[in-house]
Amino acid sequence: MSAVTAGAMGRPPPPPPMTVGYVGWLRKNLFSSWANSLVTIVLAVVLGWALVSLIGWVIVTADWEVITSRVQLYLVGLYPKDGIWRPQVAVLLISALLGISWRTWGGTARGFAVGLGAVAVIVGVIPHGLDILNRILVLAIPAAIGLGYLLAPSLVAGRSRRMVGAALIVVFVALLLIRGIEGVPGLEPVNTRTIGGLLLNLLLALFGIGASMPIGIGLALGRQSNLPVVKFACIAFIEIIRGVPLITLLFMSRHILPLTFPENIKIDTLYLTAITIMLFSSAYMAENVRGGMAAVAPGQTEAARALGLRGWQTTMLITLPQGLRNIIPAIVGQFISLFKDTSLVFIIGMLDLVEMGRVTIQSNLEFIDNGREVYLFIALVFWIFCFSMSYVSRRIERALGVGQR
Amino acid sequence: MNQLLYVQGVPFWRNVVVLRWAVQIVSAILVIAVIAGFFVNVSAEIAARDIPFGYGFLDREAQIPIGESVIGYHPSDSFAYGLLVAALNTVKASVLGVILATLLGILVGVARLSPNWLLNRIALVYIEVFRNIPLLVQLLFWFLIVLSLPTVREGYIAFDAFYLSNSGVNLPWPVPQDGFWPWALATVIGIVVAVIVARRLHWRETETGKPSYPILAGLAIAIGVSVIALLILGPMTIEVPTPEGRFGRPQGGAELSGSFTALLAGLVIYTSSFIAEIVRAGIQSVSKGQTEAARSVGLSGMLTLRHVTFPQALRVIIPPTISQFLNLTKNSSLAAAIGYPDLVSVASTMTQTAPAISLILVVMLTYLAMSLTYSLIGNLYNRAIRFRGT
Amino acid sequence: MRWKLALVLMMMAVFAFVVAACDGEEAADEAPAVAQAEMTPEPMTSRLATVQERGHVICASRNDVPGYGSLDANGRNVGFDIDLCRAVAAAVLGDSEAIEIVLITAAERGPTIQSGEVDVLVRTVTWTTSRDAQWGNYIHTTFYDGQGFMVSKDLGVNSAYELSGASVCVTSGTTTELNMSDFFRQNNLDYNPIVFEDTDVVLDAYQEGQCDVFTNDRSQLAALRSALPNPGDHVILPETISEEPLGPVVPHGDEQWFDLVKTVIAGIIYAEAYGVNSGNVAAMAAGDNVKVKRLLGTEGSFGQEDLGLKDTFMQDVINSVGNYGEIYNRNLGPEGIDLPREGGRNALWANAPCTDCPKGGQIYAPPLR
Repeated sequence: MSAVTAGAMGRPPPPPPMTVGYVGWLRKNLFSSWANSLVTIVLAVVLGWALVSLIGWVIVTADWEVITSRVQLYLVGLYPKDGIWRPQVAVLLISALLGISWRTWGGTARGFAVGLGAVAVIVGVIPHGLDILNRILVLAIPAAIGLGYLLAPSLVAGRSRRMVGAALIVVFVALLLIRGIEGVPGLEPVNTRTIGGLLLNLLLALFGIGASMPIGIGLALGRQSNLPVVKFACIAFIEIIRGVPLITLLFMSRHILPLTFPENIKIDTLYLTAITIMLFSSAYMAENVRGGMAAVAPGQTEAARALGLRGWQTTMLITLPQGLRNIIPAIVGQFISLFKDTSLVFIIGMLDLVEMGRVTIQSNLEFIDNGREVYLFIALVFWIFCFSMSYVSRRIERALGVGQR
Repeated sequence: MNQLLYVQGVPFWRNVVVLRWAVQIVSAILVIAVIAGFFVNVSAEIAARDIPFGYGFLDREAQIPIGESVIGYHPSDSFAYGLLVAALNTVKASVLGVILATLLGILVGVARLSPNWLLNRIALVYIEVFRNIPLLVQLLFWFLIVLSLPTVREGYIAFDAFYLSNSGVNLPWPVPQDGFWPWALATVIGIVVAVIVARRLHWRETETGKPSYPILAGLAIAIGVSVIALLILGPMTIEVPTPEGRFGRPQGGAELSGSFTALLAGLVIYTSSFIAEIVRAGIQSVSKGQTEAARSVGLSGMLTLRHVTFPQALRVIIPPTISQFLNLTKNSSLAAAIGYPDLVSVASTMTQTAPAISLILVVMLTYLAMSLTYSLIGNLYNRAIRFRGT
Repeated sequence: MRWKLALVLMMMAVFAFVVAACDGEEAADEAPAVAQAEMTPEPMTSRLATVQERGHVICASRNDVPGYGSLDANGRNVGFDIDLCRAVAAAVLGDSEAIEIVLITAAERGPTIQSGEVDVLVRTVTWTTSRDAQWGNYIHTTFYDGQGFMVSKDLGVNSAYELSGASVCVTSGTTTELNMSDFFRQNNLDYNPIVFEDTDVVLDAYQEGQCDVFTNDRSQLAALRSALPNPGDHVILPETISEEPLGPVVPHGDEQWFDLVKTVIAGIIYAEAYGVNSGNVAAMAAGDNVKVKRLLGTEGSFGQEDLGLKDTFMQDVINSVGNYGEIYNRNLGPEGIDLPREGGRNALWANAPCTDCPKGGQIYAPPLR
């Protein structure tokens, strides 16, 4: 409409030069008032100085041998050498999955696929302590992504349901590969004590969040129950678990929980830890679910009751599904927290990524001064994972329109 | 009676009242059985395996070193007292941390909504950096920053009374004398009177519309009473830290140790990044019409935020913030990594001469008590503002 | 909907993984009877039989102290303590690699050995009487240490008694903390303790001058000092404030296992005293020294049968792990953290052919016969 008018009246006058283009953007966003300008300048100087000194340290001062000589320890812990191809194949499978989802969903998946591929190429090409075999393996990641992208049409044909199926198969196969299958030559189960490094953090967090879903939902429903005993038990469980530090729970699970089992059953530390993390996580999950269900508009419940649904039917068919949709961002947030919290398993002698770093620094006199390098590396790894997840969470939040209703 | 008549003819297994009771009783039995089974099993096993357990150790001498204490400590004190000292250290970190993290979190959350692009982006980067890195790594980072200050013998000194070095900060601090308790009593009375007066004035203000400055008046009364009592009673002397001995470490006054400073910085910055997101989401949840209405009646941006948006956002903000307070408190258990004697650190030292399992139980109960206190305060406050809001 | 479905299915996958893993667990080679041996006063299965059936020795140890227990670049557990564990594995199973190291923190040492879930605890554990009574049976002192102080030279401190007013850094969880507390209290010295978890953080705090003094076992101090940029700028004070006899511990309740581990440790010390090392085992076994031949099982006996071991088990031990001196050199000596041995307490009491000229050390084995 306005374009027609403008066309009829000839070219509109150009906007004032100070409000468009880079200069205009700068003026509007950074220098709109003297206070704003001052803030801008001070922050820019501080930020610039910090960046320059950090980059200088990373390139000039730091000695990265403490990382490059032990990459495998940081990634998979003491996983047996002759079985190391198993987690590697698992990573390639997941890369291929990423390629498939890029073709199927685009958007965020594309960003991740391209990002991962680029990082892999950089790591594979820059001159540093990696040997040639590892370089080839790293460079196989973009190849796997590409393969997944190419094969996507014939495998999932753009259908989301098939995509989810493919994802599940890949995750399941990856887990089986890592843990091993009894009686299959070449795939002997590994001793769970050898699983460590980043792999341990990921496995524990994944298991914790997945397995805590049903328990968390149960606890949340129990907390809202109108049966006092059930309600009280659920509240007590949630508040106790949420009220004590995870390290004390882990310590107790390692030294008290085994006492409750019959004498001849010996439970692996990894499973004890996973169970503890699951219980810990389920208390938080319960609170998330409760919050999500509380956010469902009361009209929904009233409508359901008006249609003659019973109380439990209303919950199971109306409130819970809508509540769960509300809390997907919260679940991702919890996953991020849990992922960081898995680094607390050091308290019971498990060698996760952080503990592996601490051990490496302390137990080698030549590395005793390289703490900064190790912790920067650990921070970066955690940051990449957590930031990616929080990015996905924000995308989902936007897609679901949570907070805009 | 009515209800019984109503259910007549319904078989008892479909009778709601019977069913409810049945479910309750079954679940009660289940819960009790699980808990009792757990305790019986564990205590039997503890006895069978000769695992040391018990609380006889609590009044023995602890004989362990604890570097910092709010209430004084000597190795000849008992285990129970040592645990109290350690718990107070945790409380100190937790309470200070909660206050500072809230303030910083609100600042960053508001900055996140600032029209200044750079400030806004920096707030975003701040949030995304600090909440996505494990706290332990951040604590070590802040500890290294503290260590990069000059040593205590080359540190910064102001007025021969304030010392700043990588060992921490030393400040002059009042030491209570004889008149302390009368003075404290006078101050409390002053505060009570001030509150009463302020309420009266507030009531008058709302009734008559005359500006009566209730907060100013209240503050004046409270401070005035306290200061006058201070001058009359002389309850405290100021102790100034002075460097002593070969190592030149300031003695006397108050000390914030380097470890504590690093711990506080780490906890506050980590938690504030979560609170900032909560605050941002809370403010954005207030409907836009509110802001527009406030601006159209002539309130400035700052005033709109303070009087219109923020009070409404509070209701959304408080519950998740409380859970951040709990997290901060629990996270302070990582303090041992950077040398602050918190509860977990001291308890793990004690495990050498006392039963580990008993000690961990004490630690868990203490944290539980602190968490429940925070929850309680938060819930009360939330209820209070909810009541006023609707 | 899609995401919900994905989440639910993901959960199922994780469950399936656990079920699969548990299936594997039941069939795996873990013998379930470890704990059982400790349950009753009369063990149904001896620990030796359990270990042999299981196929590996489980040792509780650490991996964060250079020389004693650490991880090498390939993720292999190495160190003095680890080698003692390997020696036991070589004796019982003939394979020094048949070990499983359970990593534990200092606070876990008591509960771990008490529950009997591990066969041997070798984690630089100082032998104290209350631990011997409560935790398990101490075997034999394999390393004598003592606690000392390190300070920067330019502070001009010459004695631990001059440390009044100092800030002292220490790592947590060991007797070191308690000894420090006792020392300063006994001598009425004012001090400010700072307790850290990790050695590298203590070292940072020490180097940056946050603490004036670093206290630890002297062997550790010497090793860490050598890793500092200018070792000459730091001095270890002459006072040793504690006795730290370190050695392996076995769970209470199985005399045979206790004696077995004791004999293995005695064997490696004996082997050094008689000059048997990993390079000459075969020759010595065929040689003419009666005592050596008895040690190596080619003539006579020193109780192997009663311990449930084969006659030549010491050959396996020496072949794969070496004698005491070799273990020391590899980890604590020139090839390790380079602690001097000759003339110190950890030298041998005497070499065998020369019983009249003691070397002055305290490392000593009972006669093997």
